[in-house]
Amino acid sequence: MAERTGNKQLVKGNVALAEGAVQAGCKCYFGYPITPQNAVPEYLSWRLPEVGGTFLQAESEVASINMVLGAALTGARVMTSSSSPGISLMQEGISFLAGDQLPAVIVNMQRCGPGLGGIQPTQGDYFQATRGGGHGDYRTLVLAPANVQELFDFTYLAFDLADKYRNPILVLGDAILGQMKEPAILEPDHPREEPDKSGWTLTGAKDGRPLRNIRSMFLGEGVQEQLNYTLREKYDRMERDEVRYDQRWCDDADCAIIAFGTAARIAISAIHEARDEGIRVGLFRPQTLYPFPFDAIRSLSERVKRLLVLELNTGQMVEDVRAAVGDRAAVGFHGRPAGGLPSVTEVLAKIEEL
Amino acid sequence: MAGMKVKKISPRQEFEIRLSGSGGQGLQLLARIFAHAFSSEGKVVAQSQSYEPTSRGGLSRSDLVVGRSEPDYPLATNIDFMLILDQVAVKAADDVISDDALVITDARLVTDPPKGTFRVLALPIMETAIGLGNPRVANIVAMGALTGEGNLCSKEIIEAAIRENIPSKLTDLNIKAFQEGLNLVAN
Repeated sequence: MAERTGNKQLVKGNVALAEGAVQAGCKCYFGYPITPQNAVPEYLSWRLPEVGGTFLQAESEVASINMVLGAALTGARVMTSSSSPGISLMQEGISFLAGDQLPAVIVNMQRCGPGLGGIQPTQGDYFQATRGGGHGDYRTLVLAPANVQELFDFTYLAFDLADKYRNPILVLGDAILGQMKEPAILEPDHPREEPDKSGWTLTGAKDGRPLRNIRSMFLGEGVQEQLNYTLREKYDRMERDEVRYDQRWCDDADCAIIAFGTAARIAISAIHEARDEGIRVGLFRPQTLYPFPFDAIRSLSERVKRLLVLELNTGQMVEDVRAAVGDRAAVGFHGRPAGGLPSVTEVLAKIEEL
Repeated sequence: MAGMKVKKISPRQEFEIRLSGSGGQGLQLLARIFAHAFSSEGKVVAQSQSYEPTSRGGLSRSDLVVGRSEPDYPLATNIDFMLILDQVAVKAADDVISDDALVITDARLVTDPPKGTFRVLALPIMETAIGLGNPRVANIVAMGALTGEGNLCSKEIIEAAIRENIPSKLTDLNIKAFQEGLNLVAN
């Protein structure tokens, strides 16, 4: 939603994110088909070979994520994409990526669950995305785009962040964002930052350098504990440096809607309608879900005393908002799960209830 | 704010179109040509469509939300112009057709058109395409009818978009189909 200059083209969300990966220097993609993100592998199957990269359709999501791990060990920029049930299958591999401290980009175009669920849009995977998802005491940084431009921009950015922190990065979209087309500029707005990885990657020790061993299992007294502190220090740095959000119309607001992704699009429509009626509503849109913008929401709650959390689920991010706000402001919630989309009229009614 | 109606056309949004029918009727192509035409007029278009599993036979639809800036809510919620080329698509739009919408249906393939205060125009779209020697251009015939009756866009801009999006050996046939569609609503 930020204004950028450049050549705009009408492009599908899934294609925009795939091109964002290519321009970030992604050299390997491993994936297994699942609606609603199939345009990602379809596009990369011809686009990656054009830039000297490797596209491989694996036999399953479990195989895909472990291929991602293997490529990440060599220092290659690597990505996989899937949708909710497939991302569940990948959780073991994501935990290993975190434990091994390997950079990788994972895209989840959410569809509704639980179980096999359906193919409709949802934000039901907020908890899974922001709490790690697999076993162990780890986090993945989670970027939450709300339009096709951000799908391109955030996927491009995700590769830099993955390398910066040597950690898996999640791009969390949904079935609407992936499948819709809107104008976007498929050119990065800043050069990519790819650090020198030669100090840790596994590329063969033929030149006589000492052998390296990347692993996540340490049985020595206190060694595993130390690894967890190292990871924690990394997450502290993410929480300090990587919080991103978009805050609009909050200066004069009597109340504000807090929403991410597609839900934020619905919120903006409702806010325009409300403001046309003279009701001053603001928007707070987290662009990173982990790290979550706790401080910014706390400070918002000191000025705006009525907050409505809008989600495409029955209430997940609202827990983080309540933790941030405490008793500084009233926090209401409206959500519809599993393909139900709140209408603008519904949201306006909830604003009125606040 | 109780009972506040969402305005159909706000300064940010101009109109919404739904192109619907069954898979294989060329509705996604139609959406692409329309989107191309509106974009070249400087409008901003968001397009959404039915998911892959329903695109091989069965209901197929593509929605365009057209505005002067990026549409906030990218899905159609209050359709102003609707095309229905197959009976299977009639039910799919019950609650989102605007009260004063223009609904164009194929007179033969849509046996039971939607009912409401909106205006329904049943036209011999498929018959016209068959008359042109190729039922597959029914989508472009429909495009002509929708463009003419809805006054959506200039004829020249649509024709240019057709030329950009359709292989050159089929251009003449499709331009003719578009013209025939315009003729269906000319008077």
